[in-house]
Parts: sequence; structure tokens; C-alpha cells
Amino acid sequence: MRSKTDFRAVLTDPLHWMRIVLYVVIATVVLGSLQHYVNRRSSQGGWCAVLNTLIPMADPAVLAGGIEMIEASNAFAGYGSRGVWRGDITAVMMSMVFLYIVGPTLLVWGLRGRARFRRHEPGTPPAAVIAVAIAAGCCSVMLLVPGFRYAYSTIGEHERDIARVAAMEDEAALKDEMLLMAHKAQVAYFVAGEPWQVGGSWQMSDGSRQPALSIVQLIDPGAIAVIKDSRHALIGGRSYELIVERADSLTLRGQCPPIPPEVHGEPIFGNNGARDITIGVTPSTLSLAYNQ
Amino acid sequence: MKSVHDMERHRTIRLPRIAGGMPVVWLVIAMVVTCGTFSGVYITTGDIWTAALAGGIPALIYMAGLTVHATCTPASRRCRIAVMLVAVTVLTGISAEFMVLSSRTRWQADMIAGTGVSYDRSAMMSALFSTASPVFASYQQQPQRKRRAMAEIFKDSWSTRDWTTGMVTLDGPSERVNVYASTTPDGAIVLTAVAAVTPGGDAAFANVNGCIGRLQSRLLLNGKGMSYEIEN
Repeated sequence: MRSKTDFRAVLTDPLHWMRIVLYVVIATVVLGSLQHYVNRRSSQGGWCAVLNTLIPMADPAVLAGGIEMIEASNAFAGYGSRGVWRGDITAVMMSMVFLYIVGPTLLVWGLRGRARFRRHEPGTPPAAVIAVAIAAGCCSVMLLVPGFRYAYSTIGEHERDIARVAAMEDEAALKDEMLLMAHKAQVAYFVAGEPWQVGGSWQMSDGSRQPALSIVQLIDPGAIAVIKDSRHALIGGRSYELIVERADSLTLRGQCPPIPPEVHGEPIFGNNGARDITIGVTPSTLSLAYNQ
Repeated sequence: MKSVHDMERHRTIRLPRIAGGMPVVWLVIAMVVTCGTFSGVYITTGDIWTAALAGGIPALIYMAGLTVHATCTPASRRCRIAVMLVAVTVLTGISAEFMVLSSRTRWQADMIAGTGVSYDRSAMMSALFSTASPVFASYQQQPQRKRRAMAEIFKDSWSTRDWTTGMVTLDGPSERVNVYASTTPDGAIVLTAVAAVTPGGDAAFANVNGCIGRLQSRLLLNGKGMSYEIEN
């Protein structure tokens, strides 16, 4: 059976579905024209304007967050766009106007108009309709809370994973570099004693046989290092210390850059995030110890 | 008792006013003030969140007024209180969403900026040391008695550059980092790396290449060794 549209109801009921469709069509046309104008000024295509028409219907906070990230990425890449008025800035402004001003106003006007219309016949009390409408809005906002909570906890887990992986890579690099240095000390800078003499000694690169060794001698020549003195160096944020204890033994100490001791409430590593490695070196042995 | 015809006539005659007592001019004023505040703040500060928060204030005030208007007669007192409470909750939720999202995205933007600074500092340090190290090694490997000056060795290794200009542009590791070299009267080499885009801590810092506020590091190379310094 075919139903006929009651145009009298359309005219009298401000919240009739046909009128709501009309509001959306008008808003789309107005926004589309505005977007087209702004995007043409910023040399974007007309189709882009058409596709962007519905963007102002989105949450302005989400749009603003996206723009903040886009501008940060642009700044990282060397493209300055901060402060330039673009189509997406217009979208944020229009979404604020539509979501926070025009939309609620239309709803309230409609509900009050409907209340007046229904005052003369039995129906739903207007205050109850308003309450239900606002409660529905409130529920929809509250439904976002678990989503936000999940998103933040996920971000927190990712941050923690990134910090852990970076710390592990740092520690692996520290260990590898220290083992190479120890090996180099054994192979290149230890001169064994003559057969009729006891022991041997470390030697400087100029051949002097004092029981001393500079850390510069042990560092990989290709490494980017900051040499503090003959005992201390900094490579990629990792600090190294060389202690020559005797003519035939030395100790290398390395430390990774400190990690914030607490990320989301839990320490990543013991000892307040410090990670030290100590390698004892003699002409024939290496002893590695972690101090965590 | 009214007939159906009377009811229909009554309904047709008493059409509800669309504005419902709320002047349309309020709506227009709210839109104009919100757009004006938003655009004015954005053009002044260039910050989207400052503009959104500033534009949100008149919108929030308008929504509060609208809520008061919506709960006028014919609603009962109990219903008005309930609607007010719900409206306050919604408005608080919107405000909280703005504050949380703004702080979160600003933090993320700061992290991206920090990553850029770390990246460029590493590239600058790497560029300066990799430029200076071979020269220093060549200097050290010379016989003690017949040593050429450090500056002389350095100029030889960059012989295609015009050293009469005072400061020479070297090959940087990437487009993000520019490296410059100059010599001092006592024969030392000064290598300076300047980031192309990344700002440093001091926004008013004058870089050696004429830029303002960019990252800059300096490495002094002489016969005794190298000293590296972050200048901005």
C-alpha cells in the first residue's frame, strides 16, 4: 500500500525527517560553496572541495588534532605551513559553528516548535522530549570514553615498547663496541714480555711501554666519538671509561644513556634505568659483567 | 466537543514560531563572534588549538544560554534541573575532550619536533667529525720534524673551494644540514654545521650562514685535537 506524504505535518513539525534532510542539503550546498572558494584560493582542485564538503560535520577537536599533527610533520620535513589559512582550517571553524551553535539551536527550536504543536493534542511532554534528546547526546559522548581509554592505553603500551626496544638496541651496541675495544687492546696494544722476562705490558701507539693506554687507541677510527680525556669517551650517547690497573690488566666500563626510570608507572630496568657493562681484560681473558 | 474539522483548522492557524522566542539575531551573533574569534586568534598566533579553544568560548557561552532557554516553560522544575545536569555533563565532556586532545596532540607534535632536533644534531655531529677526522689523522701521521700546518692539509683536501672568501661551504650529509669551514689566524680549522630547517633553542640566534634561530654546532680542529660544541 502506498503511503502519502503529509505535507501539513512537514510544514508544522520542525523536526520532521523531510525538514532535517532539507537542513542537511542546505548545509551541504553552503559548505560546499565555501570550501570550493577557499580551496580554489589555495590552488586545490574543485573535486577536493566537493569531497571535503562533509568534513565540517566531523568533530572539530579531532580535525584540529589532525591539523596539529600535519603541521608538526610539515615542520619536520621543512615545509612551514603554520599560520597559513587553508581549507582544513575553515573546516574546523565551520564544524564548530555547525556542531556547537547551529545544530543545537535547530534542535531546540524544533523541539519547542513541536511542543507548541502538540500542546493541543495528547502526545509526549516537550520537556521529556528535550531530556531524552539531551540524554541521548550525553550517552553518545559517554560512549566515547571507553574508546579514548583504550586509545590512550594502547599509545602507552606502544611508547613503552618503543622505549624498551631502543634501550635493548642501545645496550647491544654498547656491548658490541666494548668487546671490540677489549679485543683490540688484547691484539694490538699488548706486548708480551721477552721469554726470559715475566709478563708484558700495554703500550701506547707511539711505542712507549709504560703501563698506560689511551681510550683513543681502542675506539674504532670510523666511530663518531667525543673524547673527554685519555680515559673517557662518548660514542653515540654511550659513555666509556678505560681504567688501566696494571701492566697486563685493564677494565672497560660502559654506560648507556639513562632511560627515564618510569614510563607509565613501571621502571623499565632496575637500578633506576641505569645499565652498565664492565669488561675486565687481561692478555688472554675477557670477563663481562652487567650491572643492572 | 470540537469536531475534526475544527481541530484541523486550529492546527493550521496556530503554526509554531520557528524561533520559539529565541531571537535569530542571537544565533547570528554567536556565529559571527565564534568565527571572528577563531579566525582572529588563528591569524594572530598561527596555532590551531589556541584558535579552537578561543572560538569555543563564545560557542560554549551560547550553548549554555541555549540550554537555559530550552528549559524555560513549559518544562517542570524537576525536568529543568535534570536537563541542566545533563547539559552541564555534555558541555563538560566537550570541554574535556578539547583539553585532552589538545594536550595529547601538542605532546605528539613536540615529540616530532624533538625527533627532528635529535636527528639533525646526530647528522651535524657525524658530518663534522667525519670531515675533521681524516685531516686530523693525516696531520698526526706526518713526521714530527716536517709537519705541515693543519689548515694547509685541510685546504688541500678541499682544493676545489675558493678559500679567499673566508668561509667555505662544504658538502653536507643531506639537504637538512649545511657545513661550513673557515680557518683561524693560529692555523686551526673551524667547522660549523647549520640545520636547514630545524629551529634550535634560541630563536634569535644568528647562524653563520645568515639564517636565524637554526640548530648550529661547531668543531674546532687544531694540532692538539678536536673540540665539539653545540652553539644553538
